[in-house]
Amino acid sequence: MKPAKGGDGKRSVPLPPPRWAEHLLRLLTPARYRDEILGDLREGFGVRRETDGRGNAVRWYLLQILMSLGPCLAFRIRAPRSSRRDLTQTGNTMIGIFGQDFRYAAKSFGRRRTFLGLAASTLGLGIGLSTAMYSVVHAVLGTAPDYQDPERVVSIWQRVEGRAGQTRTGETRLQFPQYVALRDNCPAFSGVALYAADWGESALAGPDGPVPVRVGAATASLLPTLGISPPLGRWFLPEEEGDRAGPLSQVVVLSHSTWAVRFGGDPELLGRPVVLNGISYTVVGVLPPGFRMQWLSNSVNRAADPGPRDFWVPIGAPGWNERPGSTMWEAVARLAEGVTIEQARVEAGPILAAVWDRPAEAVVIPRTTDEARGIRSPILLLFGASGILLLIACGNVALLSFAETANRGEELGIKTAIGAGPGRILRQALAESLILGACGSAIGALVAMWATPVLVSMAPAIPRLDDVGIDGWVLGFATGLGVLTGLVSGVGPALLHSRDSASPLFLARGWKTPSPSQKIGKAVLSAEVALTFILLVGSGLFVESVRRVGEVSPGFDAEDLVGLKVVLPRGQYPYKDQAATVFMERVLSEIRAAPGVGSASAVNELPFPGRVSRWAGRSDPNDSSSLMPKVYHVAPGYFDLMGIPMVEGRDFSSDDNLDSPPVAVVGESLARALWGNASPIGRLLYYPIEAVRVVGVVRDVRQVVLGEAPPLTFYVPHAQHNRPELTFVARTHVEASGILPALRSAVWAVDGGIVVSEGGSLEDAVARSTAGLQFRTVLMVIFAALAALLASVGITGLTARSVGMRSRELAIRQALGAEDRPLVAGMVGEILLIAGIGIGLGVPGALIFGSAMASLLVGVDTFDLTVMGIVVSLTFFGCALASFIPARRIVRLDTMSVLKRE
Amino acid sequence: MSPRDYPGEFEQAVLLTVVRLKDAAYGMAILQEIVDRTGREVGIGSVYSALDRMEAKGFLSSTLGDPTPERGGKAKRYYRIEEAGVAALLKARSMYSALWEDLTLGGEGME
Repeated sequence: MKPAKGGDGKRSVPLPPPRWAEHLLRLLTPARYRDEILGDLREGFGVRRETDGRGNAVRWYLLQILMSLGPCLAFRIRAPRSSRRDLTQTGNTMIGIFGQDFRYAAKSFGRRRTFLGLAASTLGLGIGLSTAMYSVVHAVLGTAPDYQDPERVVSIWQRVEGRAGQTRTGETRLQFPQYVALRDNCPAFSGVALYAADWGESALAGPDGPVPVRVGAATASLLPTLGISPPLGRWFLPEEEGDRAGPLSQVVVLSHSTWAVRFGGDPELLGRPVVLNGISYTVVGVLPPGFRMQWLSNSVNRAADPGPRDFWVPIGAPGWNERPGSTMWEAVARLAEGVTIEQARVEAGPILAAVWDRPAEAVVIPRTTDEARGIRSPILLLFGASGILLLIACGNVALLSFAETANRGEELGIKTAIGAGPGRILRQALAESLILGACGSAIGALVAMWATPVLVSMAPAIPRLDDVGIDGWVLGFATGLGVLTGLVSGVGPALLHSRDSASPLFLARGWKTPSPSQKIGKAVLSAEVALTFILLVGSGLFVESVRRVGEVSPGFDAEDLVGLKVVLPRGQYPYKDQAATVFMERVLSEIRAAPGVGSASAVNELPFPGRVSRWAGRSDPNDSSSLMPKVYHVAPGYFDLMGIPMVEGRDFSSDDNLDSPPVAVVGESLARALWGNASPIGRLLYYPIEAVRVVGVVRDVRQVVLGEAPPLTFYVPHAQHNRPELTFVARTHVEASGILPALRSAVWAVDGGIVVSEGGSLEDAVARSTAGLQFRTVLMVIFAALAALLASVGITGLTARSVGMRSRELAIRQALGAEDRPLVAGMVGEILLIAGIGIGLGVPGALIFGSAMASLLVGVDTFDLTVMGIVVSLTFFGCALASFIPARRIVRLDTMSVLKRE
Repeated sequence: MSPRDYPGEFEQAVLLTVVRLKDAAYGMAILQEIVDRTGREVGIGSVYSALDRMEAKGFLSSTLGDPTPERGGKAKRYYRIEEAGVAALLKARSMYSALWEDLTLGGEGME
C-alpha cells in the first residue's frame, strides 16, 4: 500500500479522522511538526479508510497517537535545549518548554530562599485562614443532607396574620390537622411529614433509675419523605401515627448511636420493650448512622442546638399527642415531580388557611436553605473577612515580588538583551508564581489543618458543626487559592517589569530610579491600608457591641439561678385544669426541700431563651392598632426570686386561680405604651384570649439576646391558664450541675412520666445568648490584627526599599548639608499620604461592610463615630510607626561609602 | 569522532529510506516504506523525532511542499540527505562491516 501522492482527481477528498482524535493529536504534538504530523496522519487515515474500512482506520490512527506519545513528549522536553529555539521561539508548546521554565524557576528559588520563605508563608497564612473559614462554609452551608434528591426536599412554614411567629423572619410552625390536609389534598407534594426535635429530655427507665434521654416525635411519612430507610427493622407505619392511634403508637425507633452505645449494637433488640416516661414502647427499628433532623437556626430560640434525638416515637404516642390548635410541628415535604417551589407555595396556602380558619400564607423553602437561614450571614461575613485578609497577603507578596524584580533587574536585563522576549520572561514568572502558589497552598493546608479544629472548638452552637473538617473539597479550595494568589501576586509584577525594562543596561549599572512599578507598589499599599481599615472598623464595631452588651444588666439577678423545663402531657393535664397547678405546687415543695436550694418558683419559660408567644394586646378592645407583647405564665413569688423589682401594685398570690377574676402584671414599657403616664393598676388589658385586670407593674427584663432592647411584656398567673410548659427555677448555693439531678428527681417523684427538658444555670443561658457575637468578635479581631500586621510589614518593606533605592540621592543631599530629620520626615510623610488615600478608600468600603454587619451588631450604629475615629487614628499611628523604623536608617547612612560604591 | 555522529539503528533506517524515496521523502511516505520493508509498526512521532535529530546534526535538510486537500490542507515536509548524512551512513556501515569481519556466530552452522 502506497500513500496517496495527491491530486489524482479521481475521487473527492477522503473523509477525515474523527475530530476528537485529531484534537488529541494536536494537543500532543510539538508545534514545530504539528501541521506535518496532522497532515501525514490524515493522509494515512484516508488511504486506510479506503482499503481497510473505517473501523480499522480509526484503530490505526489511535495506535499512531499512542505510539507517538513517548517520542512527542521526549521531543518537547528535548526541544528547548537547542538554543536556536530556546530564546526566540515563543509559540512553542507546553510541556517541554514549561518543564524547562519550572526547572529554571526552581533553581532560581533555590538561590532566593528568603524571598520564597517569606512570600510563601505570607500567602500560606492568608490561604490557611481562608481555607479554615471555607471548611466551615462548605460543611455548614454547602453540603446537601443525605436525603434522596435533596434539592426536592423543602420546609413548610406559614405566615399567620397577627402572629409574631416562631422564627426570626416571622414564620409559624404547622398544626397537626394542617399536615393531614396537606397530605390528603395537596398534590404539589409527593410526601409531607411533621416532626418535633427540640423538645427536651425524657426519662428512660434503667436498672439504676431513670436516665435523661432525648426523644423526638415524627409522622410515619418522615423517612419516606426524606428518602431514607432504616438499616435495621422499620420506621413507623401510618396506622401508628395520629392522636387516636393510642396504644398502637407505643413503638420506638432508636438512633444508631443509642443502639450501638446504650444497647451494645444488639440485633436482637427489635421487638423488645424500652420504658420511656413510665410507658413501655416496643423497639421496631434503628436509624442509619448520623441521621438527625437539623436544628433550624432561624427559629426564635437562637441559644442552642437541642442536639440529635436518641429515640423517635410516632406523633400520637402518649405525651406526644398532636394537641389541637398547637403550632408545634416542624414540617418537611418532598416536591412532586415537575412542581416548582412557587407552585407548591400557591397550592399549599389556601389549604393551610382553610384548616386554621385564619388568613395564613404558606412559606416553602428548600430544606438546605432553611437549615442555615439563621447563620448564613455571619458565616459569610467572616468568610468575606478572611478573603480580605487573603487579599492583603497577596498585596504583600506582590510588593515583595516588585522588590525582587527590581533586584533581579540585571539578570532580566541581560536576558532581554540576549533575545528573551516579554513572552519568555512572562513564562518564567508564571512558572515561579505557580511554584510560589504551590508552596503557599501547602503551608495554607497546614495552617488550615491547625486552625479548623480551633475554629470549631470556639464556635457557638450551629448546625452541622460536627461535619466541619478538612476534606478533598477543602484541600482543592486551598490549592485553587494558591494557584490564583500565586499568579496574581507574581505575574503582575513581571508584567510591569516588562514595561519597566526599557533600558536594562541602565538598571544593570545600579541606577535605580523610581519606576512605574514603584508607583504601583504605592497603589498596592494604599489598597492594603484600605482593606485593613475595613477589617479594623468591622472588628471595632463588634468590640463596641460586646462592650455595650457587657454593660447591660438583664433586669434580673441571674447569679445562682438554675432552671429546669418540663412539658406536661395534655391528656393528663388539660388546659384550664387545676391538675397542672397541683403538679407544679407539689414539685415546688419537693424542690424547696432539696438540700442546697434557697427558694423556688416557676414560669412557663425563662427570659433566656425566652421563646414565649406574643399576643396582640390593647387597652381598648376596639383599638385595631395592637402591640404584640410577650406573655409569661408565672407562679407566685417569681418576681421576688428573679430579683425583678416591683414598681407598683402587687405580685400574684395563690388566690389568683381558676375561680378568681383573671389578672396580669405588666412590664413598665408596656404600661407606658398603653396608658402613658397614668397608673395602669386596675385597668383592663385586652388580648385575644380574654381581658385581664392589671394588678401590678414590674421593671422591664431583657430577653432572648442580651443587649437587645427589652421587649414589651406582661405576666399572667400560671394557675389561671395551666399551660403545658413549666420551668422550675431555684436559687441555689451550689453549682448548677450539682442541683440539676435533684430538680429532675423532684419532678419525677411527683410524676415519673413527665418529659424533662433542658436545664441549666441562668447565668450560662444569658452568656450563651451572646456566644455568637463573642465568637464573631474574636474572629474579626484576629483577622483585623493579622491584616494590620501584614500591612505594617508591607509598609516597612516599601520604606526600607525606598531608602535603599534612594541611598545615592539621600547621600548626596546629606553631603550637601541636608539634615536627617526632614529627610526622615519626608519618608514618613510619603507613607502617611498613602495611609490617607487608603483611609479615603476604606471609609466607603467600611460603610458597605458595616451595612452587611448591621443585623449582627448590638446597640451600635453601622457608622459609629467613636469607632471610626479610633480606627482612623490607629491606622495613621500604625503607618507612621511602620515607616519610621526603616526610615531612621537614613540617619545611619554612611555617605562616603554610598558615594564610593557608585 | 564522537559517538553522537553515529546514527542509531532507527536513524539509519530513516536515512536509508529518505535516500530510497528520492524526491518523495516526506513523513507518511517514510513511515509507510519502513513498515512495508521491515514489517515493523512505526509511530509517526518516532519518525519525526529521528528526522528532527538528524536535521539538527546536519544529516538531512527539509523543505515544505504544497498543501493538498487529502491532507486537510496541510503541507508535506520533504527531506533530502546531505553530505554529512551520507558520510554518517558510510561510517556506520564500515563500523558494522569491521565488527562483522571474519566473524561467525556459534549457532550459525546449525540453523
